[in-house]
Amino acid sequence: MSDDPTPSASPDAAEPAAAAPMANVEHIHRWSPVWLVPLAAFGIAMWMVYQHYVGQGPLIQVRFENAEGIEPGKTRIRTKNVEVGEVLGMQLSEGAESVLLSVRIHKENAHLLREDSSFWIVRPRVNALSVTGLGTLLSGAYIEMAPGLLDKAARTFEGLDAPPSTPIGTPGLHIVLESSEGKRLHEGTPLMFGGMEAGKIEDVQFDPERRRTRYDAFIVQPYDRLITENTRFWFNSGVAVDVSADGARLEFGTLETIASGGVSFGVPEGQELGPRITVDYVSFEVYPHEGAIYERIYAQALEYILLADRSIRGLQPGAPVEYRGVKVGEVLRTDIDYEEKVRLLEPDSRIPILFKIEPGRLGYGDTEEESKQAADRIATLIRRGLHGEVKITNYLTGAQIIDLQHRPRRPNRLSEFASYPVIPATEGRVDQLLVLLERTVRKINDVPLDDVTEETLETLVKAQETLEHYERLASHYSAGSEPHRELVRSLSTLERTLAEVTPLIRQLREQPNSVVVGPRGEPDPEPTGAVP
Amino acid sequence: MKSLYLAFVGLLVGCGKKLEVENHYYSLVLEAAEGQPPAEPVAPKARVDLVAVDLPDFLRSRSLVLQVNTNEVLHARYHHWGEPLDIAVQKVLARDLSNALPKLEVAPGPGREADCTIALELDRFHASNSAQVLVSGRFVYTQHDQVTRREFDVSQVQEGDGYTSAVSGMRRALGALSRELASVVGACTPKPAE
Repeated sequence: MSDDPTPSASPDAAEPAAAAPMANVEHIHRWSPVWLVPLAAFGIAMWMVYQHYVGQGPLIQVRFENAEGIEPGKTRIRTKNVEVGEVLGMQLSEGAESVLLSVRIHKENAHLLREDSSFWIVRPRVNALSVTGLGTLLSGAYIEMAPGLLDKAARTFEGLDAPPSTPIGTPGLHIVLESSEGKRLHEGTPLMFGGMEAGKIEDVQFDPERRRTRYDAFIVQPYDRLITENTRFWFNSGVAVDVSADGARLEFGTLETIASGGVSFGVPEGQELGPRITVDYVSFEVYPHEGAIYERIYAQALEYILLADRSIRGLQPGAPVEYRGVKVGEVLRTDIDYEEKVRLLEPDSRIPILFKIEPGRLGYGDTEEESKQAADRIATLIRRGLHGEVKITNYLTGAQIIDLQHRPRRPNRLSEFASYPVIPATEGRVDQLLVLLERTVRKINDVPLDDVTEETLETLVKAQETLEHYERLASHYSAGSEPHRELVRSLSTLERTLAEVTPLIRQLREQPNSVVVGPRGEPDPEPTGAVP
Repeated sequence: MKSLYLAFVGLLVGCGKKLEVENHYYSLVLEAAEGQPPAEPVAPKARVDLVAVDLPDFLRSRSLVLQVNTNEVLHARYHHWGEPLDIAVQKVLARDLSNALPKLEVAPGPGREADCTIALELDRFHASNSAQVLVSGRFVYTQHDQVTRREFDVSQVQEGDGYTSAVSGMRRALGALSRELASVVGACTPKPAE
């Protein structure tokens, strides 16, 4: 240990030798490991934020007309009863026309958000066809999402008022049905083929320009193969009553069609099926009833006026115009609202009936050129006596039609009413019968029956005297001679004729009204025999 | 007003259908009456004409007549002769006489060159409520210049009820009358040649 250096005072350090030792200061140049703790915490936090952001799924906006039953934070988004998201918030649009919902879709379901994805609020719904959404009475409303199929993704959507009739992606054919009869179908109304449901109405719109109702419909596979160019659609009446000359017929459809009406389709018997329709949204006309599908639709029509001087009760727009029982057109209007004023209640007033004749039904081609030919020919026929008669065809319902007929003895002059050519009206047979009956009744009323019977009896007595006179005259001829035989034969005939008339005169005297109501119906008393 | 007339027409149709009583038409059958088998035809030798059947006024109508009491007759409304009664009686008697007297040519109605003639006047030819068919009258038989006038009453019992039985009875009565006539007419001989 002697080798250990001992601190000694040097000449330079003699004075502060007694001073405190100097601290050996060392500079530390590295980070403290403790700082890793907050750093790690921050990193973890940032990682969690990132994970949360990345994992929460897309935020979308869905616009609804009404947000009834929707509660942010509670209302869920479901697809096939699987929760795929939730409503985070909602706010009114700028003009308060609609409600904007902020919806978070789970990340794993984000791929379902396509341009054609659809959303609708599931609430209790009751209509003629079904009752749905009753479960939401307890659980509250939720939003159903139908995944889209398009490639392009989307983040804003228009919510539907009601569930789509056809799920997206259902194989089939979209068609358009048009009608001039106003709204007779609703969304979800079935399209029937042979009593089987082949599709549904998806949307109903009204075109104010064309004044026609448009129905978007969807035909599911395999029924879409039935849609061809010659397919016809008609409204189901559910209950059909047909009263005709053959009697009355009552037909009931299925319960579904009775409740909702619906549309049926098919190809008219006797027609070819035609090429199949494979393109979506081809338009078809909806006929008012099944019988109407057999009527061909003509493009060309000539319009005429018939001025009726009798009641047109029972003559409705759409009533047929016939020639010898064949339909050649139909009635268009029976009102009096024309440029040329009609004054009813005037004794000579006539009611204008606007009707059309379709040249195609007359044997002409359905072209403009042939339509002009038909118009010229009809003008000639009018001059030669073509008339129209408002005729009752069904005495039970009072339904009337216009019957065109030739009256060669009554040629006409061409005339117009409100720029329409006029086909003159003629009296119907019933009218003629009524006029005849009226005259007959008047004559019968004018006949003094009592006087007539008395006078006739007197005449008979005189005739009898005359006969006897002629019999005496006949006696002057030699018996068996030709004049004698002829005279006797004539007298005999006359005598028998008088004998025939006598009971009638007697009957008239006893029962003057027997000619009209027939003799009294009591049977004759009969002779009794020895052996009954 | 027109609907009123339509109702009127409907009333006419309705009333027409309401009449339930039907009309019946009767004829006197031409076949030989019972007990008179048709005889074989032989060459005629004399001609007899049934020149007339005269009926009283109440029998001249086509209606069958029913005598309901002694003084009252009734014309049936729904039971008629199918042809004038005088012609029917004439044809039946001519047929019966032809069958009964094959040696004579008997014809209904006046003709030329008749050897004998018969004129019939009927007073009764109707049914009655006493279960009898009443057929009576007289006939005038003329042979050459000889005239025979004879009354007859060939009334028959009506076997069953109703007009059909009555007509059958009348036919039987005519058969009886034809037999009575035959007994007289059978003596007819051709006119001697002048």
